[in-house]
Amino acid sequence: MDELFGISMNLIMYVLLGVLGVSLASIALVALRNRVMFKLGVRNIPRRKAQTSLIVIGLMLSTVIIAAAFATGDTVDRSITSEAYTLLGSMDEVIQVRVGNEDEGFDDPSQGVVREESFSEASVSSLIETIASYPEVDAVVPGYSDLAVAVNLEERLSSPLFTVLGLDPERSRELPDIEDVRGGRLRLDDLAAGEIYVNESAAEELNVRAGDAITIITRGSRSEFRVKAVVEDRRLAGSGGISARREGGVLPLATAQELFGSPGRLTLIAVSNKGDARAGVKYSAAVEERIEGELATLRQREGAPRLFVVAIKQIGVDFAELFANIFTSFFLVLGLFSIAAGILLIFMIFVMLAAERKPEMGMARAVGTKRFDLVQIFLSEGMSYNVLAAMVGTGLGVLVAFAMARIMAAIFAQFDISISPHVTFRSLAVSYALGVVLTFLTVTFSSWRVSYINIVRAIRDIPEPSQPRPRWRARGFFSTLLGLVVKRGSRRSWAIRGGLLLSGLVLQVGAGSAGVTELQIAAGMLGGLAIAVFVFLTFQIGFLFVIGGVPLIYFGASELNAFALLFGLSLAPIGLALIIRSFGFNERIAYTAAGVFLIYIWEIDFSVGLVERIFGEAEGDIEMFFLSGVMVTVAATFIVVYNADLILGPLTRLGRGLGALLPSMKMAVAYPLASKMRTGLTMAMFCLVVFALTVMSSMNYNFNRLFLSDRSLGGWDVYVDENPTNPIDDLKAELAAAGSPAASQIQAVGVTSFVTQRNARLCQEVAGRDCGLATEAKAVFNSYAVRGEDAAFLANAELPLQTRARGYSSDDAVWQAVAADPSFGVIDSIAITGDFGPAVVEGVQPGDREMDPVTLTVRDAITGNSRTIMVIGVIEMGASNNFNGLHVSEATLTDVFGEPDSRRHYVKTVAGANDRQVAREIESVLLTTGAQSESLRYEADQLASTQNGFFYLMQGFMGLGLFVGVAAVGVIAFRTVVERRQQIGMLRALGYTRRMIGLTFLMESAFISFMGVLSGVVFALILARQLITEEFANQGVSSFAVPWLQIGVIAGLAFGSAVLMTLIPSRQAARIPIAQALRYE
Amino acid sequence: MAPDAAIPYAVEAVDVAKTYHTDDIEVQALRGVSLAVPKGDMVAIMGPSGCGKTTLLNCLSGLDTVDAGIVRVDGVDISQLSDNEKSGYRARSMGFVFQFYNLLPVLSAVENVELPLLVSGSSAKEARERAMHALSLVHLTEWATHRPAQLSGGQRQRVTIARALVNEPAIVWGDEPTGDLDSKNADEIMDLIVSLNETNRQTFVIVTHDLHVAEKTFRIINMLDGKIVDEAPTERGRALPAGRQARFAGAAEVT
Repeated sequence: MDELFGISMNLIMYVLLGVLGVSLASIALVALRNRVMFKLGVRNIPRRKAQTSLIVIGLMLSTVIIAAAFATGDTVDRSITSEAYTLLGSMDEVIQVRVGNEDEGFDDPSQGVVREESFSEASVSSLIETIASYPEVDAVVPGYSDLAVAVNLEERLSSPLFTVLGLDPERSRELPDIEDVRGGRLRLDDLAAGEIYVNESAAEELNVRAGDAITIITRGSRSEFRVKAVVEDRRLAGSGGISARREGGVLPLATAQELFGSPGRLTLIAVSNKGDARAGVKYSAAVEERIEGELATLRQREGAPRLFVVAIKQIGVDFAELFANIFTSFFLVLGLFSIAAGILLIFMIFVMLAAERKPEMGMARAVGTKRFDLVQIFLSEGMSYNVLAAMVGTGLGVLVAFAMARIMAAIFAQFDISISPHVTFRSLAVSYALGVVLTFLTVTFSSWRVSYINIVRAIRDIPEPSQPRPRWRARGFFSTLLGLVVKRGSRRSWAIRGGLLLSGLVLQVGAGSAGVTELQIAAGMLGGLAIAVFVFLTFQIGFLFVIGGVPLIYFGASELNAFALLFGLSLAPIGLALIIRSFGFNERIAYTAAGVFLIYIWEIDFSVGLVERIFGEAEGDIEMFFLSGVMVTVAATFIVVYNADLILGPLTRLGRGLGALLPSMKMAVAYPLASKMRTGLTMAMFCLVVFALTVMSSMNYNFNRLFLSDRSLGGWDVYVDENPTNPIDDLKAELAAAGSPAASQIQAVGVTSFVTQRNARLCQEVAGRDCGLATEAKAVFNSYAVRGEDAAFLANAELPLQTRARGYSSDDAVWQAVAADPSFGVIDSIAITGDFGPAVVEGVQPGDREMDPVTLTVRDAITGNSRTIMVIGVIEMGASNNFNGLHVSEATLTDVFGEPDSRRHYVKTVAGANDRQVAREIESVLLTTGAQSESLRYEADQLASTQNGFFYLMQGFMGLGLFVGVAAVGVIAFRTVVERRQQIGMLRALGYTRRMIGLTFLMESAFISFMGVLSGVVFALILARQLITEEFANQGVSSFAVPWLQIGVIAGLAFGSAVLMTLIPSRQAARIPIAQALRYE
Repeated sequence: MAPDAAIPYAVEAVDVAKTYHTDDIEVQALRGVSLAVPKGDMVAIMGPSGCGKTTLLNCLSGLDTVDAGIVRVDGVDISQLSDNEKSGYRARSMGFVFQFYNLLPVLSAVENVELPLLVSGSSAKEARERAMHALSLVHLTEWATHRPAQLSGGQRQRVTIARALVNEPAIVWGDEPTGDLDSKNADEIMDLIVSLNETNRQTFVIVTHDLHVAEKTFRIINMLDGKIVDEAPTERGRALPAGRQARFAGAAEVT
């Protein structure tokens, strides 16, 4: 994987290693120049071993998640790349016929339609010789490939898309691609007449071994072959594509040509570059360019085939890179929830350490230690934990990724993609550096924050006053105003700020003035980081939030960028709350108002649409999920922490009825209410992760309801895909003629004729656009599948519509109109959302129940035939996956395209029929035709199982974040036992029993985690409900459903582990000897 | 001298010994202390640092266990009680006033005071009423909803006293109750304790360094190296009616 979020991985590594170097160097400097402070920091490590262990665990969790995401990316990258290398073997480039409509401006092979169209050997004989003479090429192999049906009559098994590949035995002799599965290279020369090498996928499907017989049916004629050997799946052994398209076999070119009645014809020329399967790729660009030059000349000749070259292996490798990149980005974004929770934990750990050592810090300051020295003490300690924790975290992250690889291997196995764990040194370096740097920044920030102490209060361990007095009364309004903008600081701190700004500017200027090398980009990023730190150190947070929020809102509104717009809208109120609090305004009101505003923006406005009305409809991606999680967590924390006393009023009243529990409950609630920051941080960790998990569960559950419900099957039970070479005229009649009991199980059969999106184009007629003009055609035509439905399909299908053209009172009325009028059509919902490409139909929104008819021009990409179709309905989302494409009558499809690419028969079975048995029976009867049949419900369930498998994998990965919350509860609990030792003694003196003390601690943790979990669940459900009801408003699915079981498991795990984590410290607390505790200082 | 069976004692200690073990060091904090405190008595325990006076108080009140000897509170041998029984006993029958107040910082004054009542099973309403009454006795009604951090040292100690007295305990233990206060506040607190003793006839055992404080009690017991070395009535003790004087005198066994 070479890029992440569009940035080179090498660059990311250089920048991170640079920052890591700076972090380590700063600690080394402390160790050398201020040895006492370094020692003071490091000697704290062994003071409390249990606490140290928890700190190390807390610090390493972020690194675990980062490393797991990167290693998963590497695994996917390596696995799919290996798949490309293994499957393509020696084939680096392939030359094939590509056809395209000249009116479409076809000039690029990738725009053309690949057809395994043959061309004469004679027309390319000199071309083959020329290419073979290239120094970068070691073999050029002409071949003939076509699809056939392969049948094992003995076992009654068939492979309907069996690729028969014929290769020139002479030219392929040196290639290692035909390889026995038991080992050993094989040659086509060794095949006798009537023998074939069958690849492993086909052998499995047909259950054949060397020596078995198979029947190959081509265009109605049968040929008997004996399997000479089972060979590895390779492109040059008949593996044409993934999944079922891998099944095939290889034999001599002449035999294949004879089999398909095409003597002297070829369908492809395979080119192998020098070096092995991996090494050859580096020549691809050069070889492709040279061959394309030859082909351009060839195409100029009268009657010459339209041959084009494609660097097929390079494309495969690029695809693997892209896929791996998407995976890593996806897992990193999902991991961000846990990483954010981890950062909160690190911050909290150091704030708590500072609280524990407050009297020591006060004394240190009293004897002359400077504030910066305190920062150095904490940095020394923090980085000592950090360097080790990040190392362990990286290792554990790789282990997590490898465990995930095993699960992915099981999920991907059905797509014939093998996943094997892999991690690169670069990913390890990036993960480690990122882990250390994140912790370094967090520790620096927390150390800086905790170093602000009042010496006298610190020595006496007295809490700081909770409410600062209104400053303007003491300092004057303007002075206060200035204080709200700029942070005060000593000369030294101003010098540091100045240094940061200067170095940042120098780096920026240096990076900008000379080219765009990776080093310069790295310098630019480091400069940006230095300036960011300067801004952070110099300006007040509240001011920065407001000032940062306004331009973000402006940018988001003008660019319709949802991330910037909503981020800005969220920062501004938080900043305002911070500012007005500084003026002495009531904290509860300020933070609650900010929280309520955030909840409105992120949870309620979906249905109100105020932001959209004011700023326009902004677009966002998966990162919005993370941002929503963070903002909702901030809001929930503000609201709960600043109003917990009001929320807990009823609970305490309830507690009055609990008798013996009341004293414990009173204390369990009092402490978290008194320590707002500690409570808020811990609550936020739980809220963040539980929020993410609950939103995902709810969305997945409701999507499953929509996409896998019976409505998604369109009223059909079984499908039968016919083999294009062996069409089925009347399915029911053929079954009846064969005496099959399946005939009596069939209630109705409808037939859909397909023209795939490769061969069909759609263009919407809108004002200013003429779909008939060739010059504009390329820009407005989209590739889209077209389906021609026969009368029986249209009469019997129950395909629900989300949008109907005005004037149609029911879905049936729309379908009847399509059956009756060849100029009418219905399209799936993907066409209007453009989820997998540009929207084919504009002007109809997903939530619309009515529409004006949309005029589309439908064009055959090969012949250029076209006609207009009036779209009068949009199929519901749930059914759109199974029935995607533009639905027209069969007559209309034939009118435009002639013969379809394929046909599918849909079967409605009688009540009580076993659909899978019916499908198996149909397949068995039609074995020799190569027809494939399956129950639609069974396939939907299989799909659900795959999707859920992948979903649970992601959920498990995100669930790692729960460890953060649990570790936080543990850190707090261990810490509070120490912190409250004397108070525990007093409570015991007052008559609290050991059980009551233990219970107090357990209830306290339970209270904090419960509030976090509850906030996460509640706000996630609100968001998910808004999203689902908004999205599914016209989908005919009853209202939002809550996956209570999954949420129960998530909440139970989070809550239960947090309470379990407190068991040990609460037992410790209960066992403290009273007299000792009272003496304790 | 052995305790007189005819006199109702709040606390009796017979030959109590206590040794602390810290790493390899062994400290004999109490070496066979015998003592009896009649009900309604007010006793000060004095002595230099490390003489064992706080340990004696902890052992007598059941906060700590004894290695040898017997401690009876209200006639009950507390070494025979389980931890839960001792907790219950403390909640119902004892009050504590410590040098550093030991108030719970996260609770308001009234919540601190009502805590022993809630522990001993009073209803929340009753606990709140009695806590407010106790606060009124120490003149802190107006400060009831303030947290300890918002109170002065004297006020905090008065909250502690209110807490110690709220469940009307038979005996109140004070460990340097005025140790963290200035002399004016210390006088006020001791006057309050004395008036409560006079009004409610509650027993007070106070550990102190301060002779001025000790003189407000009826008797002073002096300790040295884990033993009681002297016992003498104070001027206040000598001013008591002869019957009470006789009952209180000579309850400690001087060794």
